[in-house]
Amino acid sequence: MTELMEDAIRQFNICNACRYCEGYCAVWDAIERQPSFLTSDMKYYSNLCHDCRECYYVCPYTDDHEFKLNIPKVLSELRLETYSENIWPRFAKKFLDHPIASWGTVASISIIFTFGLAVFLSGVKFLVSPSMLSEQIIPDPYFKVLSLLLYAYVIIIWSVEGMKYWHSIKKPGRKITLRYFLLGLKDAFQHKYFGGGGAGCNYPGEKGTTTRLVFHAMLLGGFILDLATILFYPDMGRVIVWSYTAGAAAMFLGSSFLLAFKPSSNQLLMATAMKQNDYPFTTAMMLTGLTGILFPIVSGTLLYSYFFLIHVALIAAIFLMAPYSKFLHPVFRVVSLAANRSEAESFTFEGS
Amino acid sequence: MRLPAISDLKMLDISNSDQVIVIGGGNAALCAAMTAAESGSEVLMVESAPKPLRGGNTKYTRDIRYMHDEDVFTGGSYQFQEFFDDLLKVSGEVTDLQMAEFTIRNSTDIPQWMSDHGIIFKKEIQGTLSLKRTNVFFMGGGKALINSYYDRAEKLGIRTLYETTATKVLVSDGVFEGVILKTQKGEMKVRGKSIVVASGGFEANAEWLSTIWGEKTDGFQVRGSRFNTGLPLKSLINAGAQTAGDPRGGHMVAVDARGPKFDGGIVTRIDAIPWGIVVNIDGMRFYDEGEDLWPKRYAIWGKLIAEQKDQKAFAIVDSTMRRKYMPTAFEPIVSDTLEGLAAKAGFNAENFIRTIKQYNESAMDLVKAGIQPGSFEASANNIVPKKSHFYSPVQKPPFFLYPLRPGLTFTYMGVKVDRDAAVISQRGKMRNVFAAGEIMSGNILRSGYLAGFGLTIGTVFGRIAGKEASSI
Repeated sequence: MTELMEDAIRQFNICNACRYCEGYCAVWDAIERQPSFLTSDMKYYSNLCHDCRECYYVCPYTDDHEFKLNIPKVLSELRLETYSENIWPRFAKKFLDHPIASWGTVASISIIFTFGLAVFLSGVKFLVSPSMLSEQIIPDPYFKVLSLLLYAYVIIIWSVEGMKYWHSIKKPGRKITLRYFLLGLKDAFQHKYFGGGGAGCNYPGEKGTTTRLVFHAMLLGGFILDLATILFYPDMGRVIVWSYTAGAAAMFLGSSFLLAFKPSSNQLLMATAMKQNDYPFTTAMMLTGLTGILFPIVSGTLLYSYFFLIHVALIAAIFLMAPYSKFLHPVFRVVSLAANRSEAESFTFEGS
Repeated sequence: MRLPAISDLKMLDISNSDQVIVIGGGNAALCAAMTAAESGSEVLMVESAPKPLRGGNTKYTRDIRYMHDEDVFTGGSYQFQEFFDDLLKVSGEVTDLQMAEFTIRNSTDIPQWMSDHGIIFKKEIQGTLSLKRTNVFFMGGGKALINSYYDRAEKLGIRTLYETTATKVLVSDGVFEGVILKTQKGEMKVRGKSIVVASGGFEANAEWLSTIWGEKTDGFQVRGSRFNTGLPLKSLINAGAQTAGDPRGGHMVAVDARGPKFDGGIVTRIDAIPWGIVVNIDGMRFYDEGEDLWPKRYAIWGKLIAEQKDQKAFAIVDSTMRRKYMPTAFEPIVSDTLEGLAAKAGFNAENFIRTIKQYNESAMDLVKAGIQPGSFEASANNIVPKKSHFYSPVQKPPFFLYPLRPGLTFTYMGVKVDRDAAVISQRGKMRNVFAAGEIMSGNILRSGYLAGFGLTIGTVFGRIAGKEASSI
């Protein structure tokens, strides 16, 4: 057992003897179902934690006490370890270790490739002509095939990684069926645990707010809206364009605010390596949102082709990086939420 | 509010003789400060802890008891007589029946008032079902409550000095004249129109405790705040305040000996005792582990262990009992043999083996009588001391051990007050000196403890003290 894991279990033993945090998030109900903790439990809790930080600010045993509890930090450290352990194929773990370089490289290659592809398919005209349509730059069949390939790639690798993670947290009483999976998905989309049980999320400061709830929901909502809208491509009707732009705007605003809050949030409550993974991922989302808003606006000008291609390239980069970056978090989060649903259903509390 | 250095104290207009000074930083102090501020007074609060450790023993609470009809906060009604009877049952003896009744009757509006001051209550409670009807639970426990109250206090314009201790309350002819505040940088006299002392008991003052408990004090752990040194209490007594409550009165439970010397709070308690056996350092049992029912049994073991050699004892269970009690903050000491357990924990193995052998032999009687070992009815009466409930032989390895110490939560002896929370001196009521919370809980309780009642006393008398102090 690693030192980190030992310390996490030490901290959680103290938590389980206290249980004052019951009700803040799923973690605190989940620990009450165990008399003691295994590494599988800790991995599960690390991805069940939504980092609302309530449990730090209301704890009488934090840094100024000899117990030195810092649950948000130890869970963020473990969470990153679960990403690292379950990345498949294994060599891709390097992306997580060097997030800024990886994102930079992949995004650059993606942009070069996209422009190269455009030149290959449609010649260099789009570089100088202001009146191109997007499907004249990358013809529809190519766009569709490449998109589907990327979707398939992400879904396959995410599934492998999700299964690997699931096997690392599995134990009697914790199971995933289609029903629990859908319930977990529902909890994730509804942002069920972003409210701190009514007290808000202590982020970025030490007071309860709805900041993260609002901006995370915007980012997720915008991303889903754009994914759905892009299925209609190359239909560029008014409704399609508007809803795509709205999705991009939501992504841009959500990720911009999440990015802006991070530096001013309490740095003592998160793993440095996790933070280094958060920044490039959220930045990629933010730039995708920004170019998504801009390219319809500059339609009819020379800039249109550039923004469109950069936008498409960024999306491709996000998909390429999805299995090896912070973007793993929805997968492990949903698996944990599903497991939590199954546990909660089979468990009855024996009160004293 | 930011912690001002002592040099900043001048900026705080400390000569302001119109202000109410509140000594302490827990629930009672905050209730007093907020009420005084809402009544229109300027308030200066003085907390001896640094900001991250503020809040005294309130940090270690999670629920409050109050008298009520059926309501939205709890699982049913809890009327005066039942409340009063519960109080008598656990404390054995109430110091002042009228004060107890007064406290209970003034508790009815507590949850509404708390809610109005930013407290969020829990909708569902998984554990502690026995308190669901009588007590209301707040989200996040005591520190969440403290944080909400400090936020409110700040909004009300209350100034708080952290890391500042009131070392001397100056009273002349029953009239408050000023208070000496001490920080790391020095001392300073501060005036006000009145003072509310809500600084808790003296459980963290080893010197004071040793005048009562002698050498035993060395073996105590303090579950309560390390800042509860009782200096303001001592100062009030020196200024002529009458005392209330037994100096030995307090709440002392069995805690894990591996816990911290101070601020163990809720997590170091060991409630495995009724299921297994408890021996002292000589390897001998010394009290009926299954004697009483919760919640009283919880509170007797601290004093029992305090009477043992070196103030040490050891709770032992076997693998059949492991899941019957609350999880513990520290993992138990484990061994497959009883000898191994005694060696690891460092007590008399020879006697211990004999004790266990004798204890386990009683199991034959249960089998004959057809009683399920470990059940409430399972008793062993042919051993000394007997085990009156939950008897079950300790025989299935691995064995688990928890080293025990007496853990002092709080002390009861404080200053005598009247219904206006005014401190009573030998010569009568002090004009503008008030007390609330643990420092005056000895007016109501002598020993024992009723879950969630400390906050009741603090909230009832804190609000009264704040109002009275403001009206001077």
